[in-house]
Amino acid sequence: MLPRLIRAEASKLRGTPTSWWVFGAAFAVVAVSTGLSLVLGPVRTAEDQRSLVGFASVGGLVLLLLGVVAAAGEYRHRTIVPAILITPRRTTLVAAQAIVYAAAGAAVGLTSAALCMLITVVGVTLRGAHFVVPVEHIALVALGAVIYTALSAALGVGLGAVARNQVAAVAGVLVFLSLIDPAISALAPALGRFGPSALGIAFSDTGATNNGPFSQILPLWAAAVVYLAYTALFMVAGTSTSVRREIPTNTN
Amino acid sequence: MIACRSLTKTFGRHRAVDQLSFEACPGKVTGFLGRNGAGKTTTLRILLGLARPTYGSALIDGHAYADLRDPIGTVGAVLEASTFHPGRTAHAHLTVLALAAGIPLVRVVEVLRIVELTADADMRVGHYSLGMRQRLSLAAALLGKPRALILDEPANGLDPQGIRWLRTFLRARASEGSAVLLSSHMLSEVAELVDNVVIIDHGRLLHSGSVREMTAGGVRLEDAYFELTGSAPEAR
Repeated sequence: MLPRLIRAEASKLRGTPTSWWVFGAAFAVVAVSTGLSLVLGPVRTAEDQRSLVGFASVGGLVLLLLGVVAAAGEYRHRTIVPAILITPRRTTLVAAQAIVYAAAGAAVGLTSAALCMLITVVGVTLRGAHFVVPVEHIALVALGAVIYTALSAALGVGLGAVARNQVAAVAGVLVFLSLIDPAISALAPALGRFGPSALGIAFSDTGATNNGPFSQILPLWAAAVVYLAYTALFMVAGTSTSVRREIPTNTN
Repeated sequence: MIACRSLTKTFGRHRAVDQLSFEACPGKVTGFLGRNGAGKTTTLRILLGLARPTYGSALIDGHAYADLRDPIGTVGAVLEASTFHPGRTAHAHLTVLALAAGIPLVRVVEVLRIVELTADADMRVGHYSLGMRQRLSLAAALLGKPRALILDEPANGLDPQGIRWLRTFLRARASEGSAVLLSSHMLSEVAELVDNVVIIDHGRLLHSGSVREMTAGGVRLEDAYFELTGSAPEAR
């Protein structure tokens, strides 16, 4: 049953215009962040250039929002009703959605990494410097971008399944990412390094010392473990609430 | 066979469905009648596994919906007029459902033809009229060639031609042996269509039997209904 649901979910993702807009937004965020830093910041040293290629992961949080929109959107658009009529086993429904969005996240992460490298190499060359970041580091950053973006999308699905109210869920995530997460990092860096933004920086493995309010950053492996734990936690919560919850009558 | 046995559903202190028992048999169209808020939709939602009974059972072919081996091949359901993403086309919506159910995609084209939506299959559902959305809901219900149909107010939003088409369609399904359970508060719409009626009020069964019995002696279904419910004829 799971393979069928994965095919259906993939078809849903492809057939929904919002998905393509969000993918475009993720690439735009990567391109603009990298481009602005290229134009405004230093590019000569290896550390400068590691910071630039580190922007490969910034699209991850956009995919987190896509996961939230997709899972909570099932309730907003009432598509949860035919989905459950076809598959009364709701655990499998949530799992299929998470798998498809994680796969889409991985693809977006890989493309973002390639885009970021391309912009960095071209920009550094145009500014008259040599690109000196070793290939092993580029591979590590690309891997980090793939894992972070994939986990972000799956985490978003879990969050959306728990929240159910699409507008409230998206607003909550935006407020947390733009205000609460940086504030926690600024006030309590030891705690803030476990927040999603600091974890994103850890995944990009820039080695940079100036990350704004995110002064403490976990090692890459630790960030991967923590983010995987978050994703698993919200997937379990999303699945559990989906199974327990009755589907109310549409009040629209 | 669709059957409820002592079905009860409470929301806090409110008893939406109260010890309700009835059957809808194969080969017959059963009208599930009652005023708005009588408990019809709650009963159908329990039958379809979207809500849990507080007490009693709601079974299709002897099984709770969640335990059906082939749910979409056993029963097709229309519950709400809009269960679609507005940005998807009708074809894309049905394709997703067919893929999820493991149904060959050629069936999508078939059901679109059955509900006469072929010409509008590539239009985004957000641009559909209420009547077109009802037809699309029906197309989704027919995807698995189900042996039974459960329809909640399926005539809502249909124009007179659409209502006539629906009547013909449901009669044909029943004559092929399907059990059709059709809820409505519009008596005039179902009077010419149903074989049997189940009438409820405040979640309780008022009457279950054939239309022929109810209308014996030339009594109109509407009049028999209002006599049973003791209510003013508001639901015409």
